[in-house]
Amino acid sequence: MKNYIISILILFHVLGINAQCDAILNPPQSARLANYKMSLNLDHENKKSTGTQVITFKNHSPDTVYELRMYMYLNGFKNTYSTWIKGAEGNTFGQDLTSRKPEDWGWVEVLSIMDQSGNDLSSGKKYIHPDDDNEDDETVLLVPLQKPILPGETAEFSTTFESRLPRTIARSGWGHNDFFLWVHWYPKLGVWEQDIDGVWGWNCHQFMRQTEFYGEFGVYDVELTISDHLVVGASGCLVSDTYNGNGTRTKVYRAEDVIDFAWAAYPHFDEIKDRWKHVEITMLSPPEHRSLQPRFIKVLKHSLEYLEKHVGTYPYNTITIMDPPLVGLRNGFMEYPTFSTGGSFYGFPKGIRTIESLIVHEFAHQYFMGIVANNEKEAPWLDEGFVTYFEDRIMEEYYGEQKSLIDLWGFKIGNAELSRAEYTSMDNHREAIVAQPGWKFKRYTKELVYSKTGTTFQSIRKMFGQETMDLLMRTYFDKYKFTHPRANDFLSTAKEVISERHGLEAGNNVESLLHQALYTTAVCDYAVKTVRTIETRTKQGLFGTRGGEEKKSEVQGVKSVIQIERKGDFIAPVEVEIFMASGEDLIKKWDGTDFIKEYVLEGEVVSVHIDPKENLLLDIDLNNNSYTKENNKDPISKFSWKTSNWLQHIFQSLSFLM
Amino acid sequence: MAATYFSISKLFDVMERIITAIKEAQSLWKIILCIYAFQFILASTIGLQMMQVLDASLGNSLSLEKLESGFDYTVFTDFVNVHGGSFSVLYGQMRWMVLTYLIFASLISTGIIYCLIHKSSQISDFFKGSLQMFFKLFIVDVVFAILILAIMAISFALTGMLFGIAPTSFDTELVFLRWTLLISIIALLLIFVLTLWKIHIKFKYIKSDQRIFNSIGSGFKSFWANKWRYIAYTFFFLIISLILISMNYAAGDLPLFPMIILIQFIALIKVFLRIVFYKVIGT
Repeated sequence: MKNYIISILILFHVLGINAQCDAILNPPQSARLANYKMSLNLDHENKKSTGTQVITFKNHSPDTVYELRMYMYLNGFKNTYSTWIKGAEGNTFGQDLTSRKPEDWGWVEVLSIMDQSGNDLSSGKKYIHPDDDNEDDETVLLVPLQKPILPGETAEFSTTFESRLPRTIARSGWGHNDFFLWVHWYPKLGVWEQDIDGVWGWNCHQFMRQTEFYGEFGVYDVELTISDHLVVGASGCLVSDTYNGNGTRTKVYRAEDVIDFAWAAYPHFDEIKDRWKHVEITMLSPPEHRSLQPRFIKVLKHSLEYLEKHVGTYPYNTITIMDPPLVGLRNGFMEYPTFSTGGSFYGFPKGIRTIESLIVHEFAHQYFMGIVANNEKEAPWLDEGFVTYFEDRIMEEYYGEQKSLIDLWGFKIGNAELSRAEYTSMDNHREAIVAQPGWKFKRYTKELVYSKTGTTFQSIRKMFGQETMDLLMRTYFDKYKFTHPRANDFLSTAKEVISERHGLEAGNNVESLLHQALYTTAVCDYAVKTVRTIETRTKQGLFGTRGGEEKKSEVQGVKSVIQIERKGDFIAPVEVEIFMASGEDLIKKWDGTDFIKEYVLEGEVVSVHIDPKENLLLDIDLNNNSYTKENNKDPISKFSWKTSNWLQHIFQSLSFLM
Repeated sequence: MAATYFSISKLFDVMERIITAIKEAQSLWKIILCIYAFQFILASTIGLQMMQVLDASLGNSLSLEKLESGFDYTVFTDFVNVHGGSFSVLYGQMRWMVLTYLIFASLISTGIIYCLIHKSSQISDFFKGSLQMFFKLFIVDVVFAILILAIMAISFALTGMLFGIAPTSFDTELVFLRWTLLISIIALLLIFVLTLWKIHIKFKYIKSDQRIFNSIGSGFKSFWANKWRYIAYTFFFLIISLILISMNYAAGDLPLFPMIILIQFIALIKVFLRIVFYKVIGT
């Protein structure tokens, strides 16, 4: 009996019945214009794979397609003359590339490509360099077609390809002890779309250091044959898992309505399964990070819950989080459809929640990049800015404002506070505009694309309220999910939603705010310039004919003269709160356009506060927004005493040297 | 049983010596106050400037209200972004002050040891001793400080090197952490040996009027003969210091006046403990 049961279990195992999840999205969520059926054999010892691929592409345009353009991004790690490595300008994550051995470089090559009529297209293929004319760059492949694809027609192409992972420089690669992260590992079509002038063509940029990815929606059926000692996690659903009896196993995955497919393998991964509503959660984590695993799962569930409530339902049935071991740390911190990579260390303190914020960030990318699939290269703010905003929101919702990121030994920092500070602490706020292609940023990408955009959205949320902001995000998400929106799509949605809820003036204000924040380098800094109290007196001197009667001046009362100023060139309407000695609390509205605004009020002023609710978080100095005569200066005394005291301790501690 | 008795008796002996040292150190209250005042005045010059900078920049801002409940990251970063230059000036002053203090620290430790050996509680003896013996003992201090700094630098460099190669050479960060722990323990032990050895050199030199080179040898011998006892003492004082530092940190949440009283009391106690430590180690 026992043997009989074991036999059935083995049979189930061999047939792969143990490993299904529901891959089918019904109805299809996207137009599914680029679909891939791929089969891959991994030679883990040589870090190499050979694969076959059937690409089904639908021409949804009114134009004819005469050529294919494909991303060949592993070639970005082929030599030091690739555009990616040249663009890194030596910043290759602390690695000395000069000591690389031949087997440390990565590449991908199309060995053959045929159309569905059996025409061999291989002879015409060539690498092109649409962005920088770098002849040595091989990250975009052009394949001329013998049979053009007519409007509305679907074409099929069969390729064989070989790819080799580099020893990780960044993102894709291998580490010792058989760690692999396979991203941009296969020849992948660019996006056939209209450019801003309405001309149809391939959007297929070279791989650059400062840019991420862009792809077309489709269905991926991927069959991975790998050594059976590897634990694997991938995009999409595991459909079957079969042991081949020769030391290998074949895992079949299906991912629908996604723009890419990534997978990771490592022999020592713990594989943790969990569930949130319809979503099967898979967590891959090295054993030494075991104590951190509950933190990952918990924050991932928070993110699913928050984004469902405030943006829309997560449409996929799976999400895989890969927390890399130390050997794969450079592969972390990235987002791929239904597959995110984290980054952590053994013993990471609970009070420092950077591992949580990272997971929130990468998961939010499932919505902005994965579902609302903007071009990450041409308009990175459209996903990174959104994701930073949601990272801040989710972290503050679950861990509390002003302590969501760090809450350790009385030292507290909020996620949103840090995002704002990253922007406000730039040494040159006019370095660049936000809304420009990723490759144009020489520095400050994080500060501008992520933090300034996120902080701009926080400002809008504070100005118009959480409900309006949620409505804006939901409307944008619903309208553009499974498509490729551009900046104007968001900007017009923002104006439309805010105008509808708060009137046209508010709509114009938000349009102006977004324009200034994203398309200009204008700096926002409102400040209280002076507050003066002046005695008002009765008339003095001679009044009447022939000298007349002398009148002596007497104190009548006081008046206050308040000057507030716009120190920057960013213009936004603000409220000014003036608290009078009489107890009166005045709220003045100022359109913020003049350089100096003066208020003259009867009576004595106690305090003045520009933007008292601190809605305008882009203001680079909030401390100069207010003035009061009656301050409790204990905090200053305390801080000064503490400084002296710690200096005393430093003296005492250093005494051991002498 | 005998072993247990032996350990307990040793422990009692250690405790007894500490209690005796505490009693004897009390008589040096004038010297304690003098050292405390010196440190306080030096530190206050920075504290006062800090107060002026903060008052000029934040004194009339409502942002101060946010600091009443403790640290506020936004207020702090906005302040540093705008007035960071003032901080840099203070930081520059602080570095020079610390370096200057190190010279005085040599005088102070020599003076304390002189008074402990001669059982004097007079401030004049404290200055007399420190100035008489200063030059030779200062050289000893400098040599040992260089050795200690070299050990620290080597251990940092080794840890940094391990950190650099860790992602490509170690399977997990645990290997890196274990190596770092090992390096830190070795470095701390070496620093511990050097620190106590140096105190013994000073005691030998001042007490026996030996030549300095003889004191270096005899100092090491006397330290090594009682190394286990010294480990116990050092451990005890480290624990007390950690408790005091924690209390000092927690005092930050108190209202202004009680906070000042408590943190300054702790600073005073730490000066007192240093004298107690010298007493138990060197006599």
